[in-house]
Amino acid sequence: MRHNVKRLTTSVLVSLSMVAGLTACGNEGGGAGAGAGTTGTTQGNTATTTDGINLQYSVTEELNSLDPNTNYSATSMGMITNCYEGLMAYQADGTIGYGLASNVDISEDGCTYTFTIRDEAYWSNGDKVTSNDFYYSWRRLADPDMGCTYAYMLITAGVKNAMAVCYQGAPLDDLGISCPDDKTFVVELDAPRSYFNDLLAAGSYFMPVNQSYVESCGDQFALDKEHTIYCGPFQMSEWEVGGTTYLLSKNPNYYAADSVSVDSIRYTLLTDAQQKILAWESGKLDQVQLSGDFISMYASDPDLYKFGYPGLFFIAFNCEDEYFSNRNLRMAVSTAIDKSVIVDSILCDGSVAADYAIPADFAKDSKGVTFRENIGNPTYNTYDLAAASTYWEEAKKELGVDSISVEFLYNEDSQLASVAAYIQSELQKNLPGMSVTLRQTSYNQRLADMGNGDYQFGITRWYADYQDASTYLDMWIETSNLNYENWFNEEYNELYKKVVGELALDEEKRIQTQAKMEEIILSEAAICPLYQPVFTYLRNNNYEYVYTATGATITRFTKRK
Amino acid sequence: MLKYCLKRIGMAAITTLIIIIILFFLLQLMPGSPFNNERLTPDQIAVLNTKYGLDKPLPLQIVIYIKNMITGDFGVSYNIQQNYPVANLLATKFPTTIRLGLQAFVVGIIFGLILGIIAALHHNGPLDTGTTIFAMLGSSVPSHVLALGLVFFLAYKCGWFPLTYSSAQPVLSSILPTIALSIGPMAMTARYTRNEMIEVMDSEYITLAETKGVRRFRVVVVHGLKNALIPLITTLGPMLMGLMTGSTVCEQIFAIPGIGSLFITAIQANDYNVVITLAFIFSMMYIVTLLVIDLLYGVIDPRIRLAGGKK
Repeated sequence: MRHNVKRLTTSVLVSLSMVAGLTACGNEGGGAGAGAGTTGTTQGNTATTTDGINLQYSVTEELNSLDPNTNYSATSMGMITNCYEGLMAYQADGTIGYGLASNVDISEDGCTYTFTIRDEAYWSNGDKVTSNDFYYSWRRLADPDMGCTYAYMLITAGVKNAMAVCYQGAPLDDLGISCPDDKTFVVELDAPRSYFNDLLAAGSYFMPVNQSYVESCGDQFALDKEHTIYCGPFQMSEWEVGGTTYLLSKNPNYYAADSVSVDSIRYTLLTDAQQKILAWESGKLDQVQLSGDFISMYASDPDLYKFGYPGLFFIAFNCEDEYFSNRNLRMAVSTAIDKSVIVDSILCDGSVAADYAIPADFAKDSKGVTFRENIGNPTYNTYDLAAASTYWEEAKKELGVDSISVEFLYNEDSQLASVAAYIQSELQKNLPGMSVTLRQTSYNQRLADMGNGDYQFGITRWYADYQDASTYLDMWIETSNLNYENWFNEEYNELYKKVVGELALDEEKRIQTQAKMEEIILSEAAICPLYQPVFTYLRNNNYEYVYTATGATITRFTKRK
Repeated sequence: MLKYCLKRIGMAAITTLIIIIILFFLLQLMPGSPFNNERLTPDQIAVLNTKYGLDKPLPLQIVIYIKNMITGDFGVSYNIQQNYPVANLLATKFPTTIRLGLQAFVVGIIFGLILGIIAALHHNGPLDTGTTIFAMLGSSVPSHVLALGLVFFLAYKCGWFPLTYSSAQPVLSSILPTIALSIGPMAMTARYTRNEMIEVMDSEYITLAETKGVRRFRVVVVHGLKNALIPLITTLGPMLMGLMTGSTVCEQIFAIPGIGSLFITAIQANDYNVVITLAFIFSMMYIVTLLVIDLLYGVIDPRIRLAGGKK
């Protein structure tokens, strides 16, 4: 448990004695900050009082607004899901049930959802929650003038005409939603989506906003405590813009306030890794994310908790590059890297080597079986030096060269730097004649370079936006702006159309088709999967947690053991 | 003197203008845009650029910015605190940074002077050696290590202070950050004071004062220190500015809602308005501080008269 004072003393003293040597000023998070556990719900805890449960978490960035539609920061979205609620919501047993909707009628073709809004749902200013709150919110999300980052989720959700309205200048009225009366909200989909309910429960961007309130706030809506109202389990009771601490407390107006077992959640902005550990050891935090040496230091701690948020780090090959347009070259690179060394000797945090494009333990079907289990766990382009050598010889022949010099792109991050250096040495050793230079840039520059096709190959990563293999497979369709590989495949695009079209309701065939898509992209080696990240936390073991199907914690139902 | 001051203020205005123009151009060279999110499509980015006027030609953007700035409107933040007025954002953070900076400055200077004088008066003695070692350590230990050490021993082990800064305990929780921030300036002041004092105390007018029977304290403070201070004053400006523009490291460790880390975040996130406003304020602070230091010179050392003042 706590008070591993000796270990900690050693650790702090070691870090003190390392003095200047280490340049980076102790940025923790290990690059995990992005998605770790923030989807839909939140994390960790302590406090050993006998009465209420008052959780204490740390965040690595400031809360930037509580506007469900415009927000895109992981920290803020986590708080939004605690302050608002969707049509559907997570229940005390981790399943998805009704949220602000009390009923839904689904048409036979699975394309029309008619929601009835709960009678007993109120905003914290006393207004009733109406269907217009959803109608207004979704239109706001789609409105190109709002520039909402997550507008594309309307397309992902399959809302009729979402693509045309969001990106092609069609009028907002064309969006497939309507509210015939105060209680009824109707959504029309282009085609059924098996994960539609997941999106409604977890997607903060789909949560309602109160039109008259938003309009009365002007452009100040949800920018501070004075301009925010709540319809979810919690409300913000301390929020000083520019400050470093936020307090969420139970919302007495929430229709299911009795089911919320947590009284308050305090978030403190802490970015320094050592400081977080000290806060944890002093009982000031109920959860802390570990990185680097701290993981091995706490390896046997009963409070240790590992969370494999579905993500994938992979090498993107620019298929329009003079060399990497060659499939054999991409295959040679893909089979010449021993990924187990990356996870076991470089990362050492429990991350898993990946020979697949769709992460494991992810995208469960209606029977609770994950995507990978469903398709029989196939692996592709595994480490095989003999094969790599053959591909390499072929590639050289086809390219008409004896040796090539290529540049590997990655963004600043101490772990990625080590991974990149390892890949460089492996390729130069295993593919004689290949010379690899490394190019490290800022994160923004890396995105810009990959987006503009101004690179040859490099590391990128993707965290799932929703619980379906499509959140990955979507990236490589021809219209995607995330297709950094500039890889276009007719068959792949056709299969994609089937997945979102005729097969949308046929779970089994749909999954098999997605499996085929994975096979195509990996047999073409447009990407080379590297590893699936795992986040390691220390988390107060005195509490009992409720998890969603994806393993995220549903904070509001946390109970004392 | 007045003419000199006016001239300096005029130059300051021109310098600021040039700084803003250069910054505008430099920001264009930064990779990406304020809307650096993989999930945004080029169309959405175009919409956002239009919304915030970033699609206008650069010279026009500069003109609009300066025009707004004169009326006190520094624009809104693009992503750190989306749509929140930059002026309001800074108003919440600046007071803390300035207060901690000033606290550290005062503590650093006072203790630095005392240490320097003690060392000089015990030249080559054990106290001198001790002070010199302290000064060397103080200027060479990274603030990250120092801050963590303070937190570990005084806050975590002894429990005398809160682990992090808290606006609910603004005095108690600012003590450790103040110490961490003041050690560097303290060491520097001590070194300067010691060296200058040794030289000054060896000079003939000090011997004269002593032989005239002036009290030791008066000799040291009035005759010695005042003259020893002159070179130190040149270093005060940059030192004060360093403290008042916030320390990213200390802010991170003590979770201080300050300007230092905001500036870094804003640069990384391409939050143009925040970067430019901060750079503008920092430049103004530098210009004013340097002006005050120049004027102080004349007051402390009558041998130095400002060129403008003589005319």
